[in-house]
Amino acid sequence: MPSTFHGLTRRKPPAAVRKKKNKKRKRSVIAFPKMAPELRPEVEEVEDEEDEEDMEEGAEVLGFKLKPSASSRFHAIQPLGNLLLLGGPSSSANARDVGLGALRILPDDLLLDVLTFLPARDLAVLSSTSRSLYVFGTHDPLWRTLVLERFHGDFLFCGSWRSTYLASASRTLPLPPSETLVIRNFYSDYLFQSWLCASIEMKPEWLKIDNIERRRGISVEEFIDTFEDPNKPVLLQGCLDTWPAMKRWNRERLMRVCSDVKFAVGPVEMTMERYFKYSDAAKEERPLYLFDPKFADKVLELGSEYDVPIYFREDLFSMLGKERPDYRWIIIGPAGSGSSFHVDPNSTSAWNAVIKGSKKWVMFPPEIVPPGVHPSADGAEVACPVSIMEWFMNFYAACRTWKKRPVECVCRAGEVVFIPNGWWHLVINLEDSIAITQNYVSRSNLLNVLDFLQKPNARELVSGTKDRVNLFDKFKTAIDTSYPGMIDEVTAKVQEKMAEKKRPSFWESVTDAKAGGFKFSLI
Amino acid sequence: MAKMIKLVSGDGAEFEVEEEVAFQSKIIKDIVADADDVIPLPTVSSKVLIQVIEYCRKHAAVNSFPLSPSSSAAAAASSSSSISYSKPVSDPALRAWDNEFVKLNNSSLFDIVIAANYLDIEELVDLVLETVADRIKGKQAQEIRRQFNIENDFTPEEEEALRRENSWAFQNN
Repeated sequence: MPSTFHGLTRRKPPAAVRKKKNKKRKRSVIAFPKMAPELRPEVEEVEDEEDEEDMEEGAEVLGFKLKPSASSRFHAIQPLGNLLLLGGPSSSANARDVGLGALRILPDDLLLDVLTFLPARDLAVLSSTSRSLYVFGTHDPLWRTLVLERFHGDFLFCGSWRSTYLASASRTLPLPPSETLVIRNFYSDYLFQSWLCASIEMKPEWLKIDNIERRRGISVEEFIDTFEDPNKPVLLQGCLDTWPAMKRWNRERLMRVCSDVKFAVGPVEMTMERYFKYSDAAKEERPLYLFDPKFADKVLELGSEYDVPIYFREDLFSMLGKERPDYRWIIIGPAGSGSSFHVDPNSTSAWNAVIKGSKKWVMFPPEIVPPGVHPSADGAEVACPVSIMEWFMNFYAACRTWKKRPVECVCRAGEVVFIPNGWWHLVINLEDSIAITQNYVSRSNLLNVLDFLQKPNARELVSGTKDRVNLFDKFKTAIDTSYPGMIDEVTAKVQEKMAEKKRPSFWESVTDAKAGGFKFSLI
Repeated sequence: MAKMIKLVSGDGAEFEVEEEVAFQSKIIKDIVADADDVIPLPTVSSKVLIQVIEYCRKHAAVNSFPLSPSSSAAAAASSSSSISYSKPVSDPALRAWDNEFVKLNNSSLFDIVIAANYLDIEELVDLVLETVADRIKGKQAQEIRRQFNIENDFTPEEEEALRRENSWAFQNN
């Protein structure tokens, strides 16, 4: 289950919305190499303000292919390295510093944090004080927060969050054109990287490795023995063939069937139609995605047009009935949306079925923390400070030289990925995608879940339910009632295995030469 | 007997502070965990360090809990707040003290926030950022420029266009 909406938020969120304080997301800024003049991004050549239209396909920056709709109008922000290439005292002035006055000594991230405290009007006024503050003040993530807080899901996205705010605030039609100035000679690694991460496509080499095990038509027993018990991921094919959803879930039908029903999108709720209008136009580093745990309650057809693949039907949390934590979600999002590294809550396992589109997965076993990820000591918080794109740019290459490399794959329409409990995973949509995911507890992870729910800080860690502290008691009671003796049985089985031999870690148990032909060195 | 940590500013001045005061800085807390009691802070001047220590001292006395989420959960459980912030949000005396503390000129404030950011003292960073934001709120463009000594490098046409846009968007506010 992906984590909730993140953004530039230092100011305290409304109590109802979030229970944990948002951790500040530090961007890991890489020092960009100096670019020779002839290699500078094409954005510089945009002369005409009106020529804000999409960049030509195939445009490239620093070896990254830009998305066709990359926002070239959004200033010609350049990395700091370029500043050094320019000769002469006047031409080496960075528009950033000139227009900040005393504020210039603040690093970009702190300055942006100041701006997160400003209401819309003050932010707009600030943007009109100088070119530099115009660049900072029109940083679109700031306006996203303002739109969502003020208008919730009731907005019509018009190309950028700032335009959306202005249009929604003015309530006049037709909308007056919004002035968009292109500011040149502005150098900032932080903002350049922000633009870059919002604008680039996934590099082909990031998609090349596909070393997950794939199976089609195996028995439930084989699944349990080979994957669920040893806690190994697998990609299963052929399970969705009977799903009506595979044929019926296209945009047009979804919008028709769901009409005015609102679905959870980040911190707000909106209709499918509005969501698609947004997702088609969004050019963001962290696009909002539709992610709703009540979809089957809200629209009965949705719940009836899919069913749980046979492998995952033992779901012990179902004993809790209405008191069970959130366990199933519909996920809809554009290319670039997804979830950075996290472990699923409550020590549950999960499956994720792609109905439309495709997803790239990167997974690490529980004992390996992915590079760039910093879980807190008590496990209460998982801070992955970087966005998905940033993670690939800055950390992906590093782990490819590790002996214990991650499990990776691209999961396409009709396929299901099994995510064993405790595994770190990152997932990104490679195109417009629609998927269903469920978390569950079976005999294989029953003990882990019981353990987890008993932890002293269960209050903080357990998620998806209103009654955290008592979940352990309720669950244990429910199991003992419906499956008397199961806990003892499972415990005995595990102890038996431990006594026989040391329980192998994932890496030790991999022997399959089919898996990409690379070898692990055993501990 | 409270354990003491020694902080050394960029200009060589030494400051001995109680451990719980120094631990308001997450960075220092981590360094000390690796058994190092003398901590050089080359990028922080003694003037700024004195102010930062003053803040930490005040806040250590108020929070008996270190800045970790699980402990703050304990704090939250014992107060009526369900939001896991590490200090009781409804402490007017502390807020008043904070408000006095930030009555400084911009330059001093910025030095403090940069140091607090470096030392990872989250509450102090938030406090200063909010203070700077307060100095922007409710002002017209020209007042903001005066406040921070900002040069207006727009052309008159650009400035006019922006002003039109703002007044149209915010006329009802």
